[in-house]
Amino acid sequence: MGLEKLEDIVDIPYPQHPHCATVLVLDTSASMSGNKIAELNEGLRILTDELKEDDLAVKRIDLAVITFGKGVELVRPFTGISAFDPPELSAGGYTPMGQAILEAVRLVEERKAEYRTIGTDYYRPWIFLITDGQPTDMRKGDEIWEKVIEAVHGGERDHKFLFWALGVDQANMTVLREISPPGRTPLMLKEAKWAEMFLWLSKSLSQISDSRIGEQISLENPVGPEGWGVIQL
Amino acid sequence: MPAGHARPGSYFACGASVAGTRHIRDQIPCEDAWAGVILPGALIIAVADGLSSAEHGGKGADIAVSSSVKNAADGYKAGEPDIAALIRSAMSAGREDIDDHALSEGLDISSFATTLLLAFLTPDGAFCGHIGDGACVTLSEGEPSLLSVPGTAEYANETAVLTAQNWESQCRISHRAADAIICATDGCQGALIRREDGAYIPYSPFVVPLVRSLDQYIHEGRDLNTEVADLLSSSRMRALSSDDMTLAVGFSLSGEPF
Repeated sequence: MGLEKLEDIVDIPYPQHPHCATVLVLDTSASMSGNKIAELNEGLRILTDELKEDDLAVKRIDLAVITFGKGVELVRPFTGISAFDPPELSAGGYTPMGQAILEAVRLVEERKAEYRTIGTDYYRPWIFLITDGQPTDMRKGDEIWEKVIEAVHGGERDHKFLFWALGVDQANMTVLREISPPGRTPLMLKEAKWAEMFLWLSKSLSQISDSRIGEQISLENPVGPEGWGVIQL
Repeated sequence: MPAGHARPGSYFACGASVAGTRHIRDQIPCEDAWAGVILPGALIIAVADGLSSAEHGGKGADIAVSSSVKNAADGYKAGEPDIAALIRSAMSAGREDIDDHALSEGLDISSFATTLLLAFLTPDGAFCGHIGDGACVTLSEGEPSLLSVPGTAEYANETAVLTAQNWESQCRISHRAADAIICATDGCQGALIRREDGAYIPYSPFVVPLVRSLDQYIHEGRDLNTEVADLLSSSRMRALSSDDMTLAVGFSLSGEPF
């Protein structure tokens, strides 16, 4: 007769996982037509499929998608990975990037407030901006520009979120550098490396969702010889 | 860890630290630590979680628990009546010992970053000093209560640490009537406390049978530290977190044969 063990006696509750709100802010302006929008859509499917393979990411990542083209649209509100259905995006319109960034910042703050209300622990949210152009709704020094700079730089400074800007093709990297938080150089996608970029994003989110207290996350370097990105000086 | 004697009215303490699944996978030793001592009329327990981001977090946790428990015990034996003051002084001594060790190694104290929870159980109740995450739950006549909950860092992967310059402002001291204390690092705090409607509550179905069973095991002559280590190594506990886990329990013996 075996002795009864503690694990047979105590009730071990199901884990309450901390969540990580992640917003993809995607350029769907007319210049993204053709291959680029197709690659972006394929990338979203890759990202979703990869994250669904990761048990912790499924429980912890909440993904939202904002597009900017024919206006600014929240095409996917925050959704857990298991229920996330990647959108089929189409290109058209201008590039209202400023309003889209402000919407993403508002959205992560709203989501954190929801986490606090229901008592869910959470990681610092991530915002990823992907564009092939430059904003048409703001210019350096105007009101929206100043709001965006303050929202992004202030948000990073106050540890409200992590902001990454990724440029594609003809993206205006000078503008992206100014929008990006100090010390966070925007990355330029190498030609035909969309899939690699979304795989990197998936791996990064998996690492974040398995991170422990105080851990410095060492994300895979995307600008190495095998990486998908380059830093354009 | 002195085992103590199964004498009604006396105290007993037990616990274990086990490596989390990520550390096992990466072949990194456990960076949690615990220590405890039984004194005439009191017991002292400490648990600590060395930060993975700190190169020597595990060593920091080791020093924090052994030094703070020793200093707390010395102060108690010397007749210091103010337990809260004793806890602050012992935590400060733990930090100084980490700093001395860091200096002797030519390193900065931040390389030894660790949380610390130091708790007393006396006839006047339970007292807890706490920096960082982890949790302490008490039982009083079988009723569970929160004594100390994780600190209020905004994000799930951030915490206050003993090794920070502002550690005193992060230190929370609490007290309540109790005849048992259960202390955990963040890896397994989810078994002790749950969030409901935004607030923490103790998880009775875990803590109540845990203490009752440990009390019974003493009378059966079982090794309580091994029993706790086995519990922490079980698949259900591992499902709570991939982090290292420490669980330490102190209680006054019922003396009743089961």
